[in-house]
This record gives sequence, C-alpha cells and structure tokens, in this order.
Amino acid sequence: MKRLSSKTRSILVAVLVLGMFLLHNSFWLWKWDNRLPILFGFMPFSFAYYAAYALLATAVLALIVALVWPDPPEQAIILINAEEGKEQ
Amino acid sequence: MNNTLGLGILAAYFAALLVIGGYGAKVTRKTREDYFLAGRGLGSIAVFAALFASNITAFTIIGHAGFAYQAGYGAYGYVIGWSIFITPFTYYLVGYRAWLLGKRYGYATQPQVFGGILHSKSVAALFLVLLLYYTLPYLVVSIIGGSLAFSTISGGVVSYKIAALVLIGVSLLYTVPGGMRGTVWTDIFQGFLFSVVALLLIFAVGSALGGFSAITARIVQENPALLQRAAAPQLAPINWFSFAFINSIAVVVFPQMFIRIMAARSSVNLKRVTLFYPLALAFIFGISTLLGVWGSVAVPGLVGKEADNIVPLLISRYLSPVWMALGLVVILAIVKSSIDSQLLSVAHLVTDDFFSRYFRITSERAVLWGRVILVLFSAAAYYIALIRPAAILSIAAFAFSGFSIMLPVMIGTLYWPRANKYGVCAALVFPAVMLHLWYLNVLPAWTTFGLMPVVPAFGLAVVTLIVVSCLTPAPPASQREKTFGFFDTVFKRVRKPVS
Repeated sequence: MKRLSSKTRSILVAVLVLGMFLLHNSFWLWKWDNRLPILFGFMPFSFAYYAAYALLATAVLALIVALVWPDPPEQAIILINAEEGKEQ
Repeated sequence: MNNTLGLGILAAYFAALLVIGGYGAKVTRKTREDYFLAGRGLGSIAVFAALFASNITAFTIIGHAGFAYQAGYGAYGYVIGWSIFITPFTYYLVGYRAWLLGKRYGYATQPQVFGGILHSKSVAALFLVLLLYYTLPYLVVSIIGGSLAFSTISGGVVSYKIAALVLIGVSLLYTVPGGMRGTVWTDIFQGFLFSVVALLLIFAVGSALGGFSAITARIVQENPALLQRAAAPQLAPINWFSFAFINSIAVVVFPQMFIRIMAARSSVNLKRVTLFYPLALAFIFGISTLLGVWGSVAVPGLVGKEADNIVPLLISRYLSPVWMALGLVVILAIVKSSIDSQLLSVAHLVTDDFFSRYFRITSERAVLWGRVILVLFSAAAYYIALIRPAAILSIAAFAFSGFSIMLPVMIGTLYWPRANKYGVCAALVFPAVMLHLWYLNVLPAWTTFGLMPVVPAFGLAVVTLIVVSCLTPAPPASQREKTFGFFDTVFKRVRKPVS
C-alpha cells in the first residue's frame, strides 16, 4: 500500500465512499426483508443489515485511515513552528 | 416515581455532575484557549465522549423510537444508516485538515478557519451569522424536547417550566465555571451513563415482554409489515435517498462538534474517534429502534406524535418505578450533554468571532465575556422555550438542512486552492436563500423534483462555489501558500520523517 501514489489513494477513497453510499441505498435488497430468517431470533434482515453495515463501516474507515490519514503530523507542525521561530 | 430510591438516583446523578464539573472548573485556567478548548489537550476518550454525547439528542430515545414505532425496523437504516459511515468520515475529511490549521495558526471555530484560509472578514461574518441562525433554534428545540420528556416521564410531577429550568440551570452550574473541560468531563460521565442504562433498559424491557425472540415472533404474527421497508410510506426510496443529505453530513458542521474536534490533542485521537464511532451510533440507535418496534405491539394504538412517548410508556407499563428514575436519568443525560455543548459553542462563537474581533479584549477578559454571554443566551433560550414562537420552530425544522448545505463550502475551501471568497460567499448565501424559499413554500414543490429541498440546495452549493470561484480572480499565491503550502510541508514531512 505504501507504493500507491497519493492520487491513486484518493481515487480509492472516493470509490470506497461511493460503494458505502450504494450499499446504504440498496433498494434492490428490500425484497428480502420478509423472506430471510430472523437473525438470533430478534434481528430481521432490515435491522441485521445495518448491524453488519456498521461493522463494514468500521473496516472501511480503518482502510481509509491507512490510505490517506498520515500518521501524527503534530511533530511536523512543531518543527515547522520552531523553524519559523528561528527564522524570525 | 414517588419512591425514595428513585429520588436518590436522581439526586446522585445531579451531585455527580456538580462534583465532576466543579473539578473541571478547578483545573481550568482563565485563558481563552483553556476555557473554550480545554487547552487543545483532549485525549481519545474525551474527544469521543464529547462528540458522541453531543451528537446524541432527545431525538435518539424519544423521536427515533416513535418513528420506529410507526415505520418498523427500517427506521434504523433510514435515520442512522448513512450516518454510521459518513459522519465519522467527515471527521477525517473536514476535521483533520481544520485541526491541522488550528494547531498551526491557533484557529478554533469555523469563522476563524474559513475566514483565515480566505483572508476574508466577510466569509468569517457569514459563517458566524449562519451558524448562530441555525444553532439557536436547534438549541431551543432541544430544550423543549428534553423538558417535555422530563415532565412526561416524571408523570407530571415536574412541570414543563421547572423541567426546562432544571435542564438549563444544572448545565450552567458546571459549564459557566468549567468551560470546555466542565462539559467534556461531564459528557464522559453522561455518555457512559446513558449507554449503560440504555443497554440495561433493553434487556429489562425485553425480559418483561417475554424475551427478545418472543416479542419478535409476536411482531411477525401481529404486524409483519414492520419488517418490510417497502411497506412503510415514510421510507419511500426518494425520501430514503434525500434523508442521507440531512442529519448525517450536517454533524461536522454543528459548531459544538467542529470546536470539539479542534480541541483534540493529536490526530491519533481523532483517528481513534473515527474508528469507534460507527459501532457506537449503531448501538444506541439500535436500542431505540428495538424499543420503538417492540412498543408497536406491546402498547398498540398510538397515533402521530403520541408515538414519541413509547419509551416512557413501555417503562411505566412493564417495569418497576425505579426504572422510571433510571429512564429519566437517561433522558436527562442525553439532553443535557447536547444542551451544554451547544450553549458553550454559541458563547464561544459570539465571544471569539464577534467581541474579540471588533473589540480588543484580553484572553482573561474573553473568558469573563464568555461566561456572561453563556448566562445571557441561556436565559434567552429558556424564555423562548417557554413561549415557543412559531418562527423559531419553523427555522429549527430545517436547521439540519441549513447546516448540511454549508458542508460543500467547508470541503471546497480545505481541498481546492482555487476556491475564493466570492465563490464561498455566494455558495453560503444563494443555497440558504433557496432552502428558505422551498421550506416556506414560496417555490412550488415540483422544483425539487420530488426530493427533499436539501438535495437540490446541496447541489446548488457545489455548483455555485465552482462557477463563481472560476469566474472571479484566483486567491493570491501568498494566501494559498499559507494553507496549501503548509499542508504540503506537513504531509511531505510525514512521509519522510525528519530525524
């Protein structure tokens, strides 16, 4: 993943966001609402789908964090602030 | 609720808030940064609790359960589905870059960040006016909703007026002296409290109704339509699609949320919050969805707004009186954790972006002004909550949409160097005007193509920002360098760490 360019990473993130939006608006799956068995005896498909969606969202966000959220930049900010202080 | 244990629970809850808030006040220094931003030192748990507790309002337990009562299990995906992913994603998309600029240039609020990037007092003023315009009615509605719930669940023992006074008064007792630290520390307590009690509540109600499986089997037998999203007219696909543009993307625009992101100690804290958020939202809304749907067979026959009382009704009919006190504590914790953060953010905006901008005041004096404004706004909010003027309530009805259509401007300014002050001003004003024309029925309904007005208004914000920015002069290179040059430098250093 480290070899990916920043443009490729941004495109990947856009695809992931679009994919999650499509999965939220998955109207074609609604016909299964009363056909699939009730999970654990209390979670019909329309409810269980979003319990699973929450798990998927966590995984996708973890991937996005790894792709485009650089690791702690506060050290870099401190350095920039310090360098600017020296110049002045 | 007339039992000693119930009153003892309530007294313990209020005492805990005052002790925690008092300690927060004790360690808060009298500087602007410490009072309004807790010295930009909030760790992962504090930022998470602060954002989550502010995000969860009376709607979660009262309004959402009532909606699930009527629309069935599909209410879960409709209200919170897209938020589960996109709300924490916006903490990265907007929050991370804004936080970086805050660390570098000392920005704390949206007027400072976006006015600062574009070197424009007009942009800062527009952000200030719009944020206050949408936040104040939203705050009043939160107080009204919380006070009604407080009064209802107490069985009328506490009147609406007293309930509103208690909600605002107790919030002020720890917010005025403790500032951000006072609200965040109490939010950690209140967020933990309402999550644990809500979890216990779902098991207690489930058990009283014969068990999770038994009540679900009864729903399948008596009202199978509650399982089918296609059977609920409220969840029509066009509404489902439109609603994704309302509550989920508005959250990061709320000033109380944005300011709390700016108070994070490090970006690692923000990352953790982003990862915790989906499951936390799914958890709390899952509980209120189940309570609402179960209520539709356990307490049938509620119509319209009556359904909003389903949780208090389930508690009063099926659980012991002590649960009424615990239920009341949940409602209070949820409502107060939102109200205190809204009040503080309004005081912060007015102090920092109005008084400090136009009158030169010292850091210590800013804290004093902040406290005075906090009390004045609270008194005004209390008065408005009592008289409930129609104009305020009608603005509150589309406040979420108003926040949502500011998001394109925030993203555009943080990511597009060509965005300029003309484009931003136009993209803030034009869609807001159109939104009013649609909601106040000045424009015919067909002009939104059957969608909720927020969708075309959001599109107009994007198009206006791009078109007006491209047709007007580009921002000067020095101005772009200040923001985007800084981002480049930081990101390069992250990739190639300096030894």
